[in-house]
Amino acid sequence: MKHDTLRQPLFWFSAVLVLALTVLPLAWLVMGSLTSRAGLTVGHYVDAFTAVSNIRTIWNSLRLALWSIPIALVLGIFSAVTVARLDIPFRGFVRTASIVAFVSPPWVAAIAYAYLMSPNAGGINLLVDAAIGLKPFNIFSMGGMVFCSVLFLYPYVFLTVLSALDNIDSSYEEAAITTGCSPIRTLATISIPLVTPAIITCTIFSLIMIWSLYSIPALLGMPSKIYVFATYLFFLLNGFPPKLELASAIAVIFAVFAGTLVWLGFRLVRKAQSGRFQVVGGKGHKRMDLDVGGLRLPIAAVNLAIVATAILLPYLVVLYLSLSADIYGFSLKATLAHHLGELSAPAMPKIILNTLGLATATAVLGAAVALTIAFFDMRMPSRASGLVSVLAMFPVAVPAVAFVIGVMWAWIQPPVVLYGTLLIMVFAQVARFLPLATQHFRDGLNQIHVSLEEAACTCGASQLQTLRKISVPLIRPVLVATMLLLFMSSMRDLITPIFLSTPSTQVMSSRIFFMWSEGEISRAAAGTIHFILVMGGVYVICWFVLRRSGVKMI
Amino acid sequence: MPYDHRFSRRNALGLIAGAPLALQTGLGRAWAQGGGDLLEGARKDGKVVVYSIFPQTVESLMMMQYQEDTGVTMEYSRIGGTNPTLQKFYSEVKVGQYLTDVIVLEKSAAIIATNDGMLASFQPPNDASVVEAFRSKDGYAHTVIASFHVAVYNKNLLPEDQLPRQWSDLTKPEFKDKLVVGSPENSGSAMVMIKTLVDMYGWEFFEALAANGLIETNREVEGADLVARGERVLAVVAQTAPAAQIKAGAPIGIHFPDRPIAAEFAASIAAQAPHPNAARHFLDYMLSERYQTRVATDLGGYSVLPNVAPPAGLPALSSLRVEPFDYAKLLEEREAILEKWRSVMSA
Repeated sequence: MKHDTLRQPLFWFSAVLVLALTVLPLAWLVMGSLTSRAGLTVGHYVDAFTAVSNIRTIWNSLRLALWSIPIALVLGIFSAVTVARLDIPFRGFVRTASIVAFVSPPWVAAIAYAYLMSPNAGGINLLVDAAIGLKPFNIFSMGGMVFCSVLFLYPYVFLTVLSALDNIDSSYEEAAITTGCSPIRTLATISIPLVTPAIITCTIFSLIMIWSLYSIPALLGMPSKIYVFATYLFFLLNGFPPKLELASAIAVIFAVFAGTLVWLGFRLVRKAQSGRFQVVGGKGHKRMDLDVGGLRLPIAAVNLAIVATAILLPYLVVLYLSLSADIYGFSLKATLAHHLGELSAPAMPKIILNTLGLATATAVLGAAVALTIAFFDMRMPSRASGLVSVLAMFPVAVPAVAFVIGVMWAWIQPPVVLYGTLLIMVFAQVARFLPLATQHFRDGLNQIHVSLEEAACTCGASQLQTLRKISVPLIRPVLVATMLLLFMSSMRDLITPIFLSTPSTQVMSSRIFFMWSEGEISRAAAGTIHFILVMGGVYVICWFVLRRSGVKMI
Repeated sequence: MPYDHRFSRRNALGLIAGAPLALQTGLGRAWAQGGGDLLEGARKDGKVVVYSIFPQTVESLMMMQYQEDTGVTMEYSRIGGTNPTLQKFYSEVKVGQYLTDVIVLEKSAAIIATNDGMLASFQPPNDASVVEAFRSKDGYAHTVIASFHVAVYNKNLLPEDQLPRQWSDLTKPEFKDKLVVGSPENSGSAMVMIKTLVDMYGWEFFEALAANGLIETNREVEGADLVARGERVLAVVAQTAPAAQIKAGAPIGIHFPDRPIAAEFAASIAAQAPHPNAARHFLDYMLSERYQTRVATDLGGYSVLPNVAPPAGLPALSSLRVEPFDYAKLLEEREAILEKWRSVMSA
């Protein structure tokens, strides 16, 4: 095997980058929470635990998670299991729609249901009121936030569990059916328990996702003064004078709390994976569709209802809001004025360029760093590479708002001032999405048998040559899928631009949010449609290009 | 082919149609040419960055007019209400990020920034035309929009004969669960409104409103939007808050109860403005008749120039009883007001 002169520099470069991206912001966050003008203090932590409004925020955040996650799990698992294992109609449609729901920005549902279910003027409330004299819904409430958060989480649960089920041989279920078990009992006692690790993973990530979610609590909770972690930090940081230290202390408390839960969760997954749930063997597996007879249509109807609530209705409402000549009078007269107004806004060309530039840079840098980390950790394991791998993974345990505040602290002052540039947002996003990307590459490299790379090395290739000429081409689908995922995640990220953008670095997501906040509902809706078209366009282009080069995407 | 001098019908129609545009462009050029040395300096700087607090779809277009008139690039940003805007400005300056040239804030916030040495003094030539009451004495904070806290109501839900005659009427049962105000943590003018009403009626007034189902929104424009959509019936917000909704055809009315509560919005130059010459010229532009006319027509506020008409359908500024406001006292009591407000609204 040839010696790589670039190996050491590449490793240390990626290690320094990981330190700068993930450790530095968190170090600043902790330092910020422990300092005051007088010096070191724990006073901010005391304030965080004693002020009524802080305790209420912690309680609200817990309530949101405790309600949303179980409901999303039930809906997601139900849809995934029935789509994967039952012979029901519209399975392909439900799969596709759930992918669309997964990549959709969370504010689509919030905007739509704010219009339909606001307590006095919501369209559904007005209809029910006309029929039975009652306005039953109030979307500007904890219930409303839970409802939209469930719609946001459900596709993630669905796709994760579905993917796990797709990998499991149906012979276990077949055996149960042969021994006289009913299809429903088979699903409940065989299929669902088999994907326990995936469900635990979903639960952990759902918790982090909920505590990182900003748009839904901001659009639906803030009008009723229901603050959760993300919106309360925004409130503390945006007042004058800002309460930076208190915000940091609260962020650290949440990070420690979430980190502990994630750590416990992963321990649980590891334990679960240690033998009991190893159901993927070396042999190919077959899939069996269970026949549930008369329940086929009702189950399909439930799946369609979930999809309609999560995707169809919100998109129709947003489209209506963007095209209606008079949303205040529920007019059906259409106009393109809001779309044209938004597209011709003086700042729009720069906003679109910023959005695409940020997403592209995040996708490229994120994928490069994650692939390097995964490669060193899996192919050239050492203590150092293991440590770098752990450091790359731990932003997963830090709620997004807390992390972005750390990034702001880290890069707003000399010696390296990045505040006001797109680069600070690239850094924040790469770090936040690094755990996801690294895990994708680890999974991808796991699928390639080492013998292929060993063969290359035997023929005289260096390890980096092997990576470039063997490993990367073999995991090209994973590389493309990860880059696309990073691109989409960057585009729909609201927290990073809300906290870190300046007039010259505004992006589409923050523009839509500000439009909504200013009561420019039709313009916000038009912006959302453009946003979705841009995202869809990128996806379709990737799909065509890759299909021509023989790579299969979702 | 010889040039045809005949004046065809198409020429005539084109001339008529193009006249307002030509006039506008002409006015713009005339204004820009009148800038003299200031304009030359602005063009040398090439760019001006403005942080402001008004509805951006309306205000950004008004400000972009400057770019069209002068060729100087205008970069506009609306961060939020007065307090988030001031906070962002301070955060940037604190770490040596001098990004802003001109900042528009509610006047009390501009005074805070002046006292903290964050602003530069400058007397633009157009300041001489401003109504004496609004003229800046020290050149730090120039009132560019005069506004009032009014009752912004939904015309479909509240008949005119049921409108409040005085602010104290809002505590009556007929306004239960119908009212909304902006949050003083976000909006500087909401702070002025609260201070004025507390001086008039004491904190009991707001305690009674809170008991009557008063809600608050972060931004005053959000409160105006709730009224436009029929979620709430009446908002006590600055008259400029519903500009975007009125433009979109919302059924919104503006009503002045017995004592309108004045709020001034001031433009200032940042002490460390990266484009100081452009900032000076832009400030002069904001006090020009060209911009001030649009303050009334587009933004729905009162101009600070005496010869500009009031917003459509609103009384002349001179006919309104405007009480002087003690900004120094507000700044003294600011923290206490915020604390008391939070306890009243959380009760």
